[in-house]
Amino acid sequence: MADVELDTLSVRFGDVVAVDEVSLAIGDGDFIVLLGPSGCGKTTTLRCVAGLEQATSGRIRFDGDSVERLSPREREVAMVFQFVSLYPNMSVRENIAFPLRARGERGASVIDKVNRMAKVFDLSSVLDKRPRALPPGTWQKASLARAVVREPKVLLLDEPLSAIDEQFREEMRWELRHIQKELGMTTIHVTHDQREAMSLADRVILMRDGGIVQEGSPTELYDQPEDLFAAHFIGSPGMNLIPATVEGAIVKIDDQTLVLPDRAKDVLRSNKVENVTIGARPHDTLLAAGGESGLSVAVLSVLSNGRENYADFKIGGIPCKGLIADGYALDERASVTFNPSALLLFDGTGRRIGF
Amino acid sequence: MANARRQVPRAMPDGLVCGLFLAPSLAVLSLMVVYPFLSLLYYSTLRFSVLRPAQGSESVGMLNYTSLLTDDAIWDRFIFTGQFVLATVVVQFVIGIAVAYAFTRDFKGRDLLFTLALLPMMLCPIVVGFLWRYMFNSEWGVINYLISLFGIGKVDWLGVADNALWAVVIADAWMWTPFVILLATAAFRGIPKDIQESADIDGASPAYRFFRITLPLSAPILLIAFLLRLIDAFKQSDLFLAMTGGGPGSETETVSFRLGKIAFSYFYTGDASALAVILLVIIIGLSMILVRHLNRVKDQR
Repeated sequence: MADVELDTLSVRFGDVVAVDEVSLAIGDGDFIVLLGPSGCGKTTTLRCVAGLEQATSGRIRFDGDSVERLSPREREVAMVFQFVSLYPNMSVRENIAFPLRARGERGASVIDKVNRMAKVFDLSSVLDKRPRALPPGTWQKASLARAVVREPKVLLLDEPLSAIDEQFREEMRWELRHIQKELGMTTIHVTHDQREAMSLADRVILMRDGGIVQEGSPTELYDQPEDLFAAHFIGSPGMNLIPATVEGAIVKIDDQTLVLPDRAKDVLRSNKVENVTIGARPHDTLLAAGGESGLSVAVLSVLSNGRENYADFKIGGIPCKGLIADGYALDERASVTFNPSALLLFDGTGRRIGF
Repeated sequence: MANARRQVPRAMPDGLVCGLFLAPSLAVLSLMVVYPFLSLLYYSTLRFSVLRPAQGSESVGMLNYTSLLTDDAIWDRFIFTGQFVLATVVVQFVIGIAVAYAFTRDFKGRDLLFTLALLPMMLCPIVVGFLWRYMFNSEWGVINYLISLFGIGKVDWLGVADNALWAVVIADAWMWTPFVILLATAAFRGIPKDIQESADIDGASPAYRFFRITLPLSAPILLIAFLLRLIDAFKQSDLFLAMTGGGPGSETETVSFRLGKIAFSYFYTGDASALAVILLVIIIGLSMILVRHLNRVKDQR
């Protein structure tokens, strides 16, 4: 186990900057998730830590020791890949034993460790099977077992769950989280699935265009996104982001006046903000059929998830979603209000304005 | 759908339709393969020479076969051919796999070098034979010049049977190692990058990775290459014709070289046919291993 530090790490492929001066400190035993859309540099960052990619500049340290000159083999990390990574010519047992045997370990200790892994990952019944014969869930469990059997300094996971059926993925998330805590391994997990990131991570690192947009606990990212990108990327269904104009003490959306808390108005005025984007999660956006106070909108469609009804509507041409109580009728007017404590404001450059 | 199909009126039964579609290719196949093979079998039971058709042919049963198989000189040819096949295939595979493995790495000029490495395979065997014959010439050949730089005296490469075997092995390996390089490179490149990287991270040394991952995963294709080279080497005669002419004496004649001599120098058509049948049986045996293996590879995919 080790703590990991990235110090202004950059990777360039020709003119393309894949990773742009990323600095990151990961504590011993932490589970961190690099989250972002494809091409944001998260996988390249991970591959740099593994030693499969060379950084153009910057440092990588394990427990304070610089490792960028070391080969993948010398770094003592383990990695699980997105698709094929079990060796198809070996049984599950031989696969799990591979990292031990590759390093010259022989005899009873190998057998003991493989059996222990089989117990932890519930693989005892398939140990003598070839990977081809296994369902994807078991396949990735075996990959994980092979990765951790050596007790690596750092466990690297490159979208390990994305090839698994939705149904098993949820289950695998729980299991992964559980095993990581039990073994206490420093883990870096890469994914583009924000739900996966939110449910697994101690800390989420949100990336875009090779740089870090925001890092923090899942709740921090959910409740206080630093900018419009973070607000848009995290949460499902996505946050309503509605452009509005500030005229003196009045905030207007499409000629309708939006009622804001006084403190918010003060901040807007003192920062001389003219164009503002209002952010509110669908469950903090409340529609009342035929209500009087708030913005008046037309209800376009309603979708129930069994517990709540979410209405689709438009404000200022922007499609939005919000909670609606029973007793609505489609195409009827409804009034929209936002939960003031959960309301977010973003300035013209997309940064969040605190208030 | 099933009902609709049953209602379509049929002028001919299905079996007849299939038969008609197959008929042209079956006809060509029997003309090209079955007839020559049967006539070969027939000639192999005759005492007959195409040079003297007027003398007629006399049926001798299995006599051609028994006289061939009890002839020590023929067995010597089989042993010599076996030595040649073993030596050349081993050399081709050791060098071919090593070079192919080097080509899996990225380096500048790799594609150009790869194309150059494949060139010898595209040359005509007779040309290759004469090329090497001149290089192995004991008086003015470049090989003897090169080894003289290391203080080694002149070697009579092509005039001594044991030396000539190795000289032709070198020429044959030079010509056909590219084939092994081609297939081995394809096999190595077919291994997913994730698996190679996984092995690196799991702590496998390059050698461990090569023998435990790369080689086992490319074994199916390498085995196909092996069988093809084996069959081809077994049939080799052009290089011997160009480089040694089978000499000294007939010490460097392969079986198929000898077959050519019996058929077209001595014109013992009956004996030659019998030897051809024996060769054919051996090659069909090897091919059956190949075809069976190919089917297994297909099933695995």
